[in-house]
Amino acid sequence: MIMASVLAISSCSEDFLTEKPVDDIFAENLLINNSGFQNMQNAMFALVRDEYDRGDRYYGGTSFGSIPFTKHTLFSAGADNSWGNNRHTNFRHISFPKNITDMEDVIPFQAVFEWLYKAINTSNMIITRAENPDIDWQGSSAEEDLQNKNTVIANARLVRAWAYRHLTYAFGAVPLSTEEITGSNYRTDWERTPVADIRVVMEQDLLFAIDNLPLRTLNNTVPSGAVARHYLGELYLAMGRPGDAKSILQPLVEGSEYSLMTERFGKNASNPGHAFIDVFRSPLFSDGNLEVLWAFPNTEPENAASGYSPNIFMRNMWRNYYSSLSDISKLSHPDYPGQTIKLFWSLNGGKGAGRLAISLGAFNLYKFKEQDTIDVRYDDHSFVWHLYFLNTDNQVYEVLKSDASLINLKPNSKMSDDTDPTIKQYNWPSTKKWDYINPIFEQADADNAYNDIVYLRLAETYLLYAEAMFKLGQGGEFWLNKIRERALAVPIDASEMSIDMILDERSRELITEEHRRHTLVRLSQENGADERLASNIFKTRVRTYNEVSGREVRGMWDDETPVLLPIPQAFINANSGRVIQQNPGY
Amino acid sequence: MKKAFTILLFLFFCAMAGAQVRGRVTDGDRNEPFAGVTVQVKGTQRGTFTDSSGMFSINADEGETLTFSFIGYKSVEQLITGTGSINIVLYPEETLLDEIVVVGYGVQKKSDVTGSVASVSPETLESRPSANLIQSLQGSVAGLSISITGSNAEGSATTTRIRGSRSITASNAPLVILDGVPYSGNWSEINPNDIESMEILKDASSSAIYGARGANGVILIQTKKGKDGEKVLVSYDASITSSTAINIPKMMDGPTFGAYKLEAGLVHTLTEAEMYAQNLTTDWIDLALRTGFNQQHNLSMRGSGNNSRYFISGNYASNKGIAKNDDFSRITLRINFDQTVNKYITIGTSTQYGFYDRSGNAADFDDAFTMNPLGKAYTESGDLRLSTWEDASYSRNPLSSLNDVNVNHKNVLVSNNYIDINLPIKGLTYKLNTGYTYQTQTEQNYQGLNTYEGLLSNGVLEISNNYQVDWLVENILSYTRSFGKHNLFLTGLYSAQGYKQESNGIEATGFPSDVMTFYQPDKASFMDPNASQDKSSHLSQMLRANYGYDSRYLLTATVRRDGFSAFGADRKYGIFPSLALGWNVTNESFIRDTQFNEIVNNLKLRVSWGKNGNEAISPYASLPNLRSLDYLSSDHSPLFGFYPSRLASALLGWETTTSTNFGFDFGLLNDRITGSFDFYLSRTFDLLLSRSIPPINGASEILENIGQTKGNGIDFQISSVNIDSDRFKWSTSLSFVQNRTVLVDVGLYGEDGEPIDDIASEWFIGHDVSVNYDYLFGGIWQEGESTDTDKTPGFIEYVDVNEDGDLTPEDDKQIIGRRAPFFTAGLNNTFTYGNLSLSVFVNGEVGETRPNYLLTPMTLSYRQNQINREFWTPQNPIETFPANIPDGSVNVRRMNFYERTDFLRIQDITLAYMFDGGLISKAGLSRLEVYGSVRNLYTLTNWSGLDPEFNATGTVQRAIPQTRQFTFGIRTSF
Repeated sequence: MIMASVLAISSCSEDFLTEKPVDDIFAENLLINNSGFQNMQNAMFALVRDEYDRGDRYYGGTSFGSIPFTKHTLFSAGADNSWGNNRHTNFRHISFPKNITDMEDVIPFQAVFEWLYKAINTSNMIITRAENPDIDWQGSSAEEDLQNKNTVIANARLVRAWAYRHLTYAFGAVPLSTEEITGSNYRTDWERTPVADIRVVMEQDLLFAIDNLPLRTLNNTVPSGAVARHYLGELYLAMGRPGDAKSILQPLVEGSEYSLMTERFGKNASNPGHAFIDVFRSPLFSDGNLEVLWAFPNTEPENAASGYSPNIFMRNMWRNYYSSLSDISKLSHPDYPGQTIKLFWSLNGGKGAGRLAISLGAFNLYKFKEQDTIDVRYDDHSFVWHLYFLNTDNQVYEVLKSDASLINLKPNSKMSDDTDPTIKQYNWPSTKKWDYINPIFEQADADNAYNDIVYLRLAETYLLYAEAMFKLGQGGEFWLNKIRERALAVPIDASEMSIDMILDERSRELITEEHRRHTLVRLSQENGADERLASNIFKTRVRTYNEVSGREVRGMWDDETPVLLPIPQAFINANSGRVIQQNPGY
Repeated sequence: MKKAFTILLFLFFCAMAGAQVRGRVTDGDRNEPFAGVTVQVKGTQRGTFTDSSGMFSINADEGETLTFSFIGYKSVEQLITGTGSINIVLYPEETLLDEIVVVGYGVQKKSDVTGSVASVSPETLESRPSANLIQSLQGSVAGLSISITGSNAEGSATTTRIRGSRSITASNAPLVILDGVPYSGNWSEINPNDIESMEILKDASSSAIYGARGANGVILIQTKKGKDGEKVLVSYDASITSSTAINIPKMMDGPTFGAYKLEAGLVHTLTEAEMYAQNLTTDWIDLALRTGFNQQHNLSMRGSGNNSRYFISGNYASNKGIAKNDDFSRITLRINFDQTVNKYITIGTSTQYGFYDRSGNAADFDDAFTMNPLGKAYTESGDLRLSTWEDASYSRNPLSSLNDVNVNHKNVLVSNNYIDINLPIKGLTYKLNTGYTYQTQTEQNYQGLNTYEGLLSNGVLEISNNYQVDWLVENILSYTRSFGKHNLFLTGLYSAQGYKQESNGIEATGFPSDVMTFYQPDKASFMDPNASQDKSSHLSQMLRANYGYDSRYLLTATVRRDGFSAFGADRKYGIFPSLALGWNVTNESFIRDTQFNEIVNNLKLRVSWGKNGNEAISPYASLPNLRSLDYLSSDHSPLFGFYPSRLASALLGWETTTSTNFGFDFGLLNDRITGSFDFYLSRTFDLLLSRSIPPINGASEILENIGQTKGNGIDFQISSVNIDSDRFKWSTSLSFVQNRTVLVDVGLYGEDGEPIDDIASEWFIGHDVSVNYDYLFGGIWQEGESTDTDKTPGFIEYVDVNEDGDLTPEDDKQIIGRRAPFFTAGLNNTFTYGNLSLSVFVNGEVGETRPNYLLTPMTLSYRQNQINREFWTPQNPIETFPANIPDGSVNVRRMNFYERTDFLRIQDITLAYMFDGGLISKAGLSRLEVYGSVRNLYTLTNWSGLDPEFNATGTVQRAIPQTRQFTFGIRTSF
């Protein structure tokens, strides 16, 4: 019998060595019908959502080691309205831009670069394979088939444009890849495609998305025509075409599908607060939120049906590390032996690690026209101004120091110490936008958060629209004031409109949300200007509003300090077929 | 039926009783009737010869003795006790004079071997008793290096290399063949008492018969078998071992830690403040340690009869490691049986069943080394305090795992069976060799509310079940024939091999209670089930020709073709040839007939060349699979997703090593001094490397055959009998290994096309495969030296190597020594006085440099403990260690401190006493030996970490410490 089996094996030896894995999935057997494309689309959206996850936590990416750092940080921090507050955020592009050229921070840049190209490759695979005529689009008619196909392609092209947006603002000219890459056509001779050429592709991608996606999709956890219009509007501004920006944004801004939330709603409606903070507590359209264009759905791992559950690190980044204050670490409570920190965080919006802090200059922007006491974006529901604990009767009380709040805006000496990048201003106020308390008390001091979260909202679209109108000489203050109106702040006059005023309002409204570096880079590059010039908006504003990064020694006073991030050296090294020029200043 | 036959025979011989004694003589070597044997009645002139069918008849009386003899064969005497036929088997004498060596798919006389093969005798294994076979071999074979890389109950943390490492990312582990079949299990799952012999095939020529899998050398292991003519021998061996931890680095105690934390400007948490106020310390390492205790019992029986040979053994070992709850126990049962059915057919089996129990999760030493000494291990009521102090990430009690409910059982059946058929053409045999291994493993784990993880998630359950099947079918055709002075030995092989593993499991959390432990997956509030399969197959053909002329000139040529399923569609097959020549110089008449022969009684020169493969990639590595990444719908139900993350490697094929070996074996002064010396050169090309490619391609690496390494080395072994007097004997044996492998090409090329370094992977052309690459420590910045931010007094000063005033990775990072020893050597001295013997084994290693991570300045603001040390202060401006700033800022470039791991160790001392045969025979014993041994008595080293041998990368300096072991045992035979 054994002999017979040997003979049988030898007679089909080629087959005997062919691998047919039964526990794995491949593009060849997945992308054969609409459901398969939906699966890949899900992963593509999840890759986008990873922007709020730790930079070292996406599959197949380069590890940062133990540095919890959202990818979003690379686009938001290191600008005018925040500084690195903690040794763990001593990335030089944030804390010491002048010394960024020492390139000790390359790993985060590399990880983000790789992550974005992973998203691009996923969308390229969808776009390429969707053209295969054999795909079963599972529609009931030829028309529906075409619609299914075009929706899939539109989503993929939108995500591709989203990724190139990040890449061009963060790194400048980058290789343009629009085809599926396999083991037989991969390249090692990529070249940096000029930003203008990439923008042509982005424009076409976003126009296709606008044509094929409804302005309002069934839910805002997937992209829509609104998202495409928002990004195309911004793209037209970057391309120096404010007229096109205005017309592409108009149906979104002036239409009725989306609106600012001005009344209390959602899960938080019965708590003390206001509509502005409700937007962050209930970001989904299904919660009644009409303002958010794009939100990421999340859930605790114990509720997720599969192994992967996203960890949202926005709270960890931006919420201050209050438990490090000696007045807090000394607290104890008889009912919670050894768990006072968990108790503290569960009473105070969830754990923060104080990686980043909002600059004093950014706080001072709320004082414009003495509105800081009125503006809801500055009040107790929007910022942490007080810290609480339980007394032995289990009554909540505010922890005070010399009868004053532990939290204040008094600068510490580290801020002006040029030799010490570790600010550690742990009594500083921080935003409540990302608050989340884990339903399991035992995890109240864990770094991870699992809440639904805002990614893009109409308020920012209004500010783009205002910018387009201002550049067209049509004022634009109306749309800016719509935002101020919701915040209860007094309106501004047409005569007060300026790019700086728009940037101020962006900071007030979108603090910690906005891709602030992208905005400043875009405006600094207008009319072909070199974004590195010390007279540009980027460096001027950092000097004006950032008391740490703006200090003279940190490089915002000279033309040499780079503003674009470095092209990752690992990519330059691996691109053996062509020499890649590094960004100037490195 | 058989009984009836015996009675018939009896009647037949009864009829012949009186003067005639009849019988038959068989050639035990060829297993056929032996013609021409002289049969003589001892002390008389009466004699005869056997006929062509081996039969004889002779006149002899009861009480007389017959002598059977034949030139070259060992004579046998037989007392005539009564009537009945006499069956005698004669064995060639040379089996006693000339050692037989297992060379893979057959055996050869040692003097005929052309390759570099080292043998390990059972005596060597016996002289270093250990629960784990591989530990007994450490330092005893030239060319085989074994590092004990960690300490655990089963002694399984070892790295085995033959002639060093030559592959960068693929495996460097040698192929292990147990009783003719590849063995992939743990060393700890083999019963050391079952081992008869081991052969290490070092050069390409000897390992080339294993072609695709032989590049890292081959270890052949034979288990014990019964021998023809052997009477039943029952043995019982037992040993007990006690072990304690040694070489523990001194971490900070509570008062020191607390004071330094305050000095650094940090605040104490509640628990810290309480402990500090009372000057208390929790010594976590001490809490996690215990005295280890091992015991081992082995019962075996071997013998022969009716043309069958058997060996049966049972083994029980129970090990308790020095880490709390680190337990391992083993039960093995082995049956080796061979039956010569007739002159054509022999069948046999070597079958082992093993049960291995690894239940229980050990105390966590990674945590124990770093846990805050101001944390508390227990609550006031004596339960484990799960969070030892107030911290979210670094407070997990290292003892928490002691409360895990854990079961880990493995059952393994290894059954290797063969049929040997002598074909009608003289010298031609066919062997069907089969191997079948079936393993199942069940792991069940439950972490209840009394564990750190369980408390966080209301109970954590993990169950996994897996099974693995390995099978092998080999068809081996051999032809052995002598024509005058020409000796020919041909071997042909056609084989197929398969591997399959299936596993499934569940992880679940959130349980109503802990009562049902891991039997309640149905009550989980969250569950993550999984299932997977792995499969691979091989197809091979091999031809080997051994030719010898007059025992002087020897030649071996082989070629093997291997196919492996995991390689790319177009690259599944590889062809691996080899050639070796040998010259027995001392068999030349111009030596043999001269005085020189009295000095050099044996000298053989060898040279070989061969090509071998390395296939060590996992199944499906060449396929472009998709990764799983899920999204959620707006109602939070899962949306499953997949995205492309790996590119297909359709051209992925064998990594190939060619090597050339020059060697000689010698025996001096009538084998008073023996040894062998080998020098080799090797070149490995088509390295299986993850090549860095631009991430624009959607993957930042692709597995390809790129790059080359080249290596060279020497290994030698010398044994001598220094004193051999009547009662006292002293013998010494030295083994030495030196090798170096350097990188030639790692797939990156400069503009001129020349290979360049892959700095990201720390691979440097012309340097060792694994090196340390870092900034150089240049002391500490002192006050007044600089005003630069990064040069604050108390910070580490880095050497500006190119003196350009600027630190840049390209110019100032340097290669700081290699991560493999330059040489290792082992020296064994054995002293025997009468029945008492003492052996002392010293082992050493030179030339390796490693980072000692314990010395790296901390970055975690006293959230973890660290090694106790002196800090720089303005008042104490030392140059050795930076200031007490615990956020890493003192070490701007994140360098590590490096130390040499050179060591010299008194590894093993064994004292044994063998009782006199006459004395013990009254008790029915044929052997009684008692012994005691001590392992790791003393280590001489400058390394300040855990143990110089615990040399893997990462956090290994915080592992279970090295142990000192005292063993006492007995060996008895009946």
